[in-house]
Amino acid sequence: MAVGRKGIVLTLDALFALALLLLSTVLILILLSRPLPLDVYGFEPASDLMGAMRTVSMAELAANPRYPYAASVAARNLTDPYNASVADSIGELFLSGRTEEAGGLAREFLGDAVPATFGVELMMNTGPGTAFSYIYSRPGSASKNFVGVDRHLIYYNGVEREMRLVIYR
Amino acid sequence: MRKGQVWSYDILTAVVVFIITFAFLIFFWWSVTTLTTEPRPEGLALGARDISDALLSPGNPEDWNTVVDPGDAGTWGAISLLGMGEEFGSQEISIDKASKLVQMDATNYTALKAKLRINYNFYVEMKEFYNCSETSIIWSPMNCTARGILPGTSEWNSLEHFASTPSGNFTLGIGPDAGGARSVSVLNRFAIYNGSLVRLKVITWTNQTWQ
Repeated sequence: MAVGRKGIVLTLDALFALALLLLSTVLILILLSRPLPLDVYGFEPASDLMGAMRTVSMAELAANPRYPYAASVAARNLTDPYNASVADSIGELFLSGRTEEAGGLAREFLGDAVPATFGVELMMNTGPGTAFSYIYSRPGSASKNFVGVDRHLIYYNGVEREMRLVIYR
Repeated sequence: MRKGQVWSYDILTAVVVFIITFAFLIFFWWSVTTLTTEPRPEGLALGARDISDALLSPGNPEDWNTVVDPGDAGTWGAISLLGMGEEFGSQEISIDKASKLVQMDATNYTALKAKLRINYNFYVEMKEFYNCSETSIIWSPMNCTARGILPGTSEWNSLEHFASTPSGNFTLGIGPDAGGARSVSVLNRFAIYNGSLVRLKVITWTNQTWQ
């Protein structure tokens, strides 16, 4: 921009540059202050679910019309004692060779409650240091990102067995 | 030294000083905003955890449900902690405490929020799981039709249903959609209610956002 006198031309150029600088600064500030929505999802299932399995008795479950499979297991007198917790009953059924009933009971109690996006594994060993066998499992994500685990100890035939519940996604 | 050159150096120096000052200003502004903007996202998630822990405890006093009038917020001062648990160490939820909480929510949401000691808005729902088409449900007193769930509706076909209390379905607070929430934290817990496994979904939310 030719204005005739030296200096003035340069000053106007600098003013243009400053205007551009201000404009870009304002744009940066707008970008920095743009609000971003936040969603935080938490899922704390294993200890709660194991706690629930310890709390509710087999008798309560069998009397509840929401659990017809539990009622059928109780009607056949497959668990002893009848008033044991659901966790104890599942373990007892599994250890006595009633694996189908143990799995069915676990599926009825846990299956619908845990969202489909999560995997469930209920396992039991046959004594300290022995391998775990599945009582009930429902596959989740192949990557098996850890979510939660809890355990329940059962004494059966004088040996301590461990029931382990793993929830993952 | 020619005219114009002097001006150029002056302007150049001024521009450099300006850029440095502005850079400091932006950095300072960004730092202050990040540190002081409330509520923090961690606070929202912690709030959901705090509410869920409180609700699964028996509360304090443990028999608070017998000493307050849920329809009169003025009597709630006797409660120092609201909870629905039957007893410490148990996953069982008391039907009476759950029912009283539903009534208290209907009476005064703001007072209930203050009692839960939460700075954010909240929503809590309790759901149980069963199949409305199951024969054992159809022929039981808790059948879906008697609870207003009609065959063919989406709720009939769903396995998730609101847990029922003597005061109505168990929901507390204001839902995030109804409140126009922009930031939400959700936490799921499990417990036993009325002999069934239930999922307690606790949502804390706010209209504010973070950077």
